[in-house]
Amino acid sequence: MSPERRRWWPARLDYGLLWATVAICLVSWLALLSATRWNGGDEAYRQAVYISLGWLLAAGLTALDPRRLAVLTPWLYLGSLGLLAAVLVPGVGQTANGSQRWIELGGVVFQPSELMKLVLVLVLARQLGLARHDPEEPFRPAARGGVFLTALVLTGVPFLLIAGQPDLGTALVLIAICLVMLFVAGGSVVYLAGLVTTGLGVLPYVLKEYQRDRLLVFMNPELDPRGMGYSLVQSKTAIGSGGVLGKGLFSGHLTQHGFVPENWTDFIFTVVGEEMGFFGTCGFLCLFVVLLGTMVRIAHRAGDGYGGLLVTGVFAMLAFQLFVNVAMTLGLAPVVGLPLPFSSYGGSAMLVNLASVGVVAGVAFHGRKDGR
Amino acid sequence: MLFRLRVVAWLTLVAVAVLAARLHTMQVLEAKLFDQRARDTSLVVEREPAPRGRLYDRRGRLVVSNQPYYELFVVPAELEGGLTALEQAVGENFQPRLEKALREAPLERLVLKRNLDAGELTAAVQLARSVPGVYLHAGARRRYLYGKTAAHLLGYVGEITAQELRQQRRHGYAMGDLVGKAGLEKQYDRLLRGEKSVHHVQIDVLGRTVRSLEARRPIPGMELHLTLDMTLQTVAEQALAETLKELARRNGERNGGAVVALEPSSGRVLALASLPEFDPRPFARGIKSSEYTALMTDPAAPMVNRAVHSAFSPGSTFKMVTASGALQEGLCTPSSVFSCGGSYGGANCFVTSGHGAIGFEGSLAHSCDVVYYRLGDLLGIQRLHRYCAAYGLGSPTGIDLPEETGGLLPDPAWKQEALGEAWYGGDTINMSIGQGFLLVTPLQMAVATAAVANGGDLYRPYLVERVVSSHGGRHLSAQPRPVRKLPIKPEWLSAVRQGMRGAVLYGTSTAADSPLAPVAGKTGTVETGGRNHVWFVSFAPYQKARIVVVVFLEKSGGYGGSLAAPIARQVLDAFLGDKP
Repeated sequence: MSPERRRWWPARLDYGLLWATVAICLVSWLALLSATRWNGGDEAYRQAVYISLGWLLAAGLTALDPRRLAVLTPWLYLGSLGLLAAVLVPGVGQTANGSQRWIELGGVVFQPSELMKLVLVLVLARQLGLARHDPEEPFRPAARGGVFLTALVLTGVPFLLIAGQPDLGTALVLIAICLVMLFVAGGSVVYLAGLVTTGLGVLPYVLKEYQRDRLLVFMNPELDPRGMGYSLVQSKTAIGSGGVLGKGLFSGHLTQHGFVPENWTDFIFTVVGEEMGFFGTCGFLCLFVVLLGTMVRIAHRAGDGYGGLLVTGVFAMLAFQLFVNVAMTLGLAPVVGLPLPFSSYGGSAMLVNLASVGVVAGVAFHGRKDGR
Repeated sequence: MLFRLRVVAWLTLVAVAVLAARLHTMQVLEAKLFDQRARDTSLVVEREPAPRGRLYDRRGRLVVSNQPYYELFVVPAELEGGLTALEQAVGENFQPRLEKALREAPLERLVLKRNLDAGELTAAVQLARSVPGVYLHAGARRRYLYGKTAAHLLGYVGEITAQELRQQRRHGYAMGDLVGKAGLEKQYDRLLRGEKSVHHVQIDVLGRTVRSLEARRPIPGMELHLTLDMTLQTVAEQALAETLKELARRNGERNGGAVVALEPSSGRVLALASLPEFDPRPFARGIKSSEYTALMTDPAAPMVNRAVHSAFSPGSTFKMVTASGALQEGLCTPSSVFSCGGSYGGANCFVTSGHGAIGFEGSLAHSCDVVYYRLGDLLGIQRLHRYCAAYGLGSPTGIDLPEETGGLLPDPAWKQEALGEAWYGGDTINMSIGQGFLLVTPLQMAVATAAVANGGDLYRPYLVERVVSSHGGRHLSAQPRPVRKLPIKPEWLSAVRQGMRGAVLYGTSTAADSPLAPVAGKTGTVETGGRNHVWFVSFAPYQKARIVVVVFLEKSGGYGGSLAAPIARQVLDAFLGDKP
């Protein structure tokens, strides 16, 4: 027992993580309320319930030693794979927007692919962090070919299941998590680069028609200003029209009157952009920078490979979604349908994101270097 | 491992910085552009017409104003129910109309009820509040306080046509606008219409109004203060109507007539009546096509303003032109004595037995044709033509009314071209008593008579004394100024006036004699092949005229002295008996 363990528990909480998450949740919820207010605001109130549940979950995971989580991990992984497979079974999975993503469990509709993101982080951290170290390369577990390959297989199975829904965005999140964790765990840069190149080379052949269209529209929105390009044009217009100070909360005309499609889910950043302006968007990004920076600090202090990789995985998951989502609303990335963490409406994502923060907080809470 | 994590962290920071840079470009550098684009997608500019300017007569009495009206309409695509309530309010055949509109023009207004009365209005307000897609529109329409009186003059308004829109677009006209279609409403439309209000309407993505911001208040149209005296106008129309009614009974056919009253010292139009008239009120509420067709196909042509839109031979009223011309040219003097044997070169005097020895004054008073045949013959067509032109006959007077006709002032060149015939001496002789090719409007005769009465000043007649903006600022004041001076010495005009006074005292026009002031006049009876047109031109008081009255009756039969002169007398009496 290290002396830190005996410290009073509130002193062992990471308050940077806590307040950054609280602030992001608050701003996001206001944006969601603003986006849905004209239509009754039901989503915002339901999201408030998910946030509350998410915080309870996060608190529980903070208290739980991550190494105990490692014991549960294989079962979580297998269970999640089972759910993902079940989604694809006709009659069990529920379809929306042409893709099967949801499953109903005891009256609650759940999106297993969201859960899979966190479970993949857990399983890779366990695989890489608790692997028997090469005595010559103690901090580079992924340098071993066998470990590297196992990680790829562990990612590949859920990737294929999710890509088959089809939900390319979430599938790409798994890839990003895997690549970043392998890189940090010391995987060969040559192998990783080779993987990325191969992936990009194969991509055009595996993309579905509509996904190819999205890419084309992204490159030239005027191709289809009434259809898919419309979302993009409206999104950029809303953000740009916010100006420096924004139109004021609940006062953005495009937001308030339905001009931006899906602005309570994938395009929620447009609400921040239009109503809170450049200060708002930069402040919002800064909150994420604080959150992610805190995670890097926690990873540094984790002391062991497992804890550090856990945090790295969560970092990769959140950072990738943040970047791709915001870049998409700004017209810098194709419309791939990724939610903005903590912001886009959706119960599964909200619970999983807050649970991830809980896992990170748990690493900090139980970390050996904590409070040094 | 820690080094690699740091690499990932820095790469992430760079990625976020890229986002921030992009946000800076969009929200700071190009914010205006995007804001404009946002406006373009969510703002619509709506313009509402301003209250149209009112018209007042010379005594400041309101003649034309506006009254509110309400109509109930639906935008079929916006309806989401409440159909039973609508059905009850609107009654039969609502359902088929709605279905048709939904098929053909779901986003356009479907007017359910026009011209709601007070009772219907309450129900309509309820309906518009409770049923989405139902709207109540309040507008203004023209109100004619004197009913049909002066209808031709005042004109009417109607929705702008595609052709008018093409011509007028640059003056800010738009589809659906009400514009003046005739009379003063047309002539002064741009002053009367004012300036529309501008509303910036914010719409939602479905096109529904979210908020309306007034960007500019409407500027009400200018007010026109007319030279017209509505009392005199009413008297003129009534007198004319009574005679026309009697004539219609006698002739078995409805025919028209006109009365023009001018102030000879300025050209102010005091009254300008034309019958049969039309009712401007159906135009104000939106005339039905059956009503419009009936007006247009009426053989009595009620839409034609006979005082300015149609021209006729002036008959013997023209003798004042021939007489004054002959005096000026030295072909006779006021003391000349002529002899009338009943015919001249094959043309007969209307008194076939002849007037015998007759003086200059008597020739006008008794309207001896032979004297004027001879004077016309002596003058010749060139000089006669010149005097006609000086009097403004056969060309538009320039009155502020649209579509004024010029009539026809013939000369040999015209005849050669139009009829392919040479001009004969008989044509000149015919013209010298106002028969033949010359065609003049009653208004032209009034202007010419005014020139005789005022000593030789030819004025442009006008109807609008001043134009006043709605907040009282004067926009325009009429400045009566003679268009030209007649090339005739005042003493010759005085002699003509003498003759016209004689006509009233002892000649053809005794019916116009008034106890209120000495009247001078000249009758005219035009042979048309069918029933005669008759004329009477007059002014009073004879020494220093304050009013000129011209009466014209189309195809009335009879004589100017017996039919037209009594009408002039009534108008003169009304004017002279009225203390100004």
